[in-house]
Amino acid sequence: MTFNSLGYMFLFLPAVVAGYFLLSRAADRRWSKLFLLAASLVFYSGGRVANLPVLVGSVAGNCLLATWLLTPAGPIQRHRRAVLVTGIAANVLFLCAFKYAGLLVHIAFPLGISFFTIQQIMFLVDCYEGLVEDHNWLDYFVFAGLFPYVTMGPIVRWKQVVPQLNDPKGWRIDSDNVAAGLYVFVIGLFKKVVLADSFFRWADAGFSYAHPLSLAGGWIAALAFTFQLYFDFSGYTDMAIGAGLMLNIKLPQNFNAPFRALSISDFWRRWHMTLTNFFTTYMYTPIIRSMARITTAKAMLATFVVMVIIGFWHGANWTFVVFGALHGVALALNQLWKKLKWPMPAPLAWLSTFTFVVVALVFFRAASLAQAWQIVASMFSLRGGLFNYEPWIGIGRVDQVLGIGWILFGLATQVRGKSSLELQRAFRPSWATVTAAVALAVVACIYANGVVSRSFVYRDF
Amino acid sequence: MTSKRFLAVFAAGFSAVCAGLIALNMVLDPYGLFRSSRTRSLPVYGEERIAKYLYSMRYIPENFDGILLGSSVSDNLDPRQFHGYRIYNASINGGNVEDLRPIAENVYGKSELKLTLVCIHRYLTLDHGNKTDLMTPRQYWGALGSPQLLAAYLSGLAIRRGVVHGEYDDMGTLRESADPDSAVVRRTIDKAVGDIQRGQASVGNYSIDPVALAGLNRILTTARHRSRRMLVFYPPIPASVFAIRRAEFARYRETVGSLLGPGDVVVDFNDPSHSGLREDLLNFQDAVHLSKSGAAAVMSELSGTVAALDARSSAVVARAGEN
Repeated sequence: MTFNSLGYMFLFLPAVVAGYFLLSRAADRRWSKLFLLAASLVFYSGGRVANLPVLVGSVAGNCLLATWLLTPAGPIQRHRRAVLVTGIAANVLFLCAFKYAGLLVHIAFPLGISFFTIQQIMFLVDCYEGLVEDHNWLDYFVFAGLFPYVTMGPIVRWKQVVPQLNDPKGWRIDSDNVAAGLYVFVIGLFKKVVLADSFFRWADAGFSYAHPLSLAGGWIAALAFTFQLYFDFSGYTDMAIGAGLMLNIKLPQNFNAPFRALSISDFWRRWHMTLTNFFTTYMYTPIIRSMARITTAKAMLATFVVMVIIGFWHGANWTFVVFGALHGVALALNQLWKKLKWPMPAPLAWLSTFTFVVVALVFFRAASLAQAWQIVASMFSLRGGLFNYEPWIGIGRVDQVLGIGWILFGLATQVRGKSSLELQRAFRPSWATVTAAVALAVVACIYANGVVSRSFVYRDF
Repeated sequence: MTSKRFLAVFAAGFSAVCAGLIALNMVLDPYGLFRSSRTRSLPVYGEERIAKYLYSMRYIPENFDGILLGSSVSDNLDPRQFHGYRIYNASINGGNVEDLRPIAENVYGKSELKLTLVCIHRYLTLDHGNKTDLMTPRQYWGALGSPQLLAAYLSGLAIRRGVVHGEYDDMGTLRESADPDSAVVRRTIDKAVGDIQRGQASVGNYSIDPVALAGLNRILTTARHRSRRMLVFYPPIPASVFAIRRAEFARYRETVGSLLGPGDVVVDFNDPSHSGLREDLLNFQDAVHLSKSGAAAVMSELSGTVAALDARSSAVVARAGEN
């Protein structure tokens, strides 16, 4: 089941919100949590029980490890560090086994494994560091598998979710939160099914073209994918945050107008923020701390290594490694630049950052390094000519006109409009917001009812 | 405004707008799905695959007594030139057997036809699997509101306003402009011949995908049972291309021929009796597709064949009546 399916929007989500708050009235709080867990498993499995063992096995294993880590006394207390290291290693191996074994044998890739594995590693570390005082099986299963974020994030920490789940104030339906959640959800849905899927057709046509692209064609394909990915992933995040809000659970933001970034480090503070936080807190900081004497060169090296790992985290393909390495080099150079305190005019800073992001994402999208090099070469040379209409013929004239309209709208929102984070913060129930919400919802539902509606890009990670 | 009021207004506004749009689309009914489409005239607007797939649900069964199935090679054959029958050209540009199957299933599931014409071209059986996800039952609901429907409206509007030229008529035929210049056709065909000889062109690829062949067999079997007469034809191949692909074509015809029954009528435009048609470059646009005059010649021949068979059948029936 996906957020942009009509079944999710009109049946699953309303039924879960209604059922959750109805059961929250019961004396025993466990019923509503069990209901939420069951709903999350139905969402995750998509109706196929065979999809559940990997998630359930991972959650059960980590819950057991956490129980040991949180045991206040006894012999296991002397081996807490060993339990933590074993737990992290087991999670990493578990992730690698499913994510990279595909290079050798054909195995089904479990949905969301990259996300729920990271989340559970964070949980184990938090348990070890005393940031989690106690847990129980039910709370842990709900935390690890909650449907708004189990497949694609945002990556959350225990303390961000479970206290809200156990706060009696959140057990009654809150119309303020439902209204705000609905508003954010509709914005996210529009971003996904109208904007991202419109950009998809241009990106896919460009990246599927068998011959070298022209100069304009290379930029069209690269820019289309950049915006497709952004609207796709940030749209998903908005829908996750919206669904969470309806259940009185505030989830962390994942995007904050990343294309307005004035440096590459600024970009990563705005793009996939929960993943950046994870790697900064749980990998970069420990590496830096482990160094006897921190120098700029060592910090640059640590940044590079972490970014290569982020690239590799996306999948077993050299294109992802190169994507991570490129960002690693850029971030390292950015650190050096800051250290040297060289000035750069804001327009130039924006242009260089944006251009770099677009070029690096070509590696992220391309099927192979050879294809990525070919497209990047077309973006900076005239070997394929200035413009060639052929790659875009398959889109069809009317769809081209419609698509260009939405693309211009999407670009305008990035340059001038408010980000969904700003819209969410500024949300007040009014005739203007309700009219906007109805308009966006109607257009989005028309698009969601079309056959060109696509799955989310990050579902493959 | 309170949050509760926001939610109430949203629910009411969203429901009202959606209900209004659905009602409007049901009234306009551009694909002839939600009310009787008898006497309606529905040209293809927007995506050909979507329109012809949706027309196969109601418009074709209610308005036509025959159907033409094929790929782009038969897309410009005008059924108006076929006398005595009202035939819909359900050929799909770039379509393979998998693309024709849902159309055939819909039409034969709704009605029994007087005549089925099947244009057998190697492209139909070259591969299997849907080339697009445009021909699925979900399109039915898309006709109540979807981007594809919006594209069809805009396309229809642009055609009616004369902004663009309508590509298809209400019988599913691809409208061709005037015949291309014979010198251009000759160059195109000569290039194709050269490419085939160098092993670089797909024009000469007569390989058969077994899944596609099985799919073709299913279509032919259904057509045989659900239409009174089935005529299978192999479209003409330009003489210079045919000369270097004669053996491959013969093998292809033999394989496909094994799917045909004794009662099926077969017309092969590549047999010696049609050499004049194949040698005249004016009958072609390129190494594969027929020109307007070529398409007319083919249709005339097919129409004559069916008319002769009908006349013979009528005579047999009349004689049986006299006896």
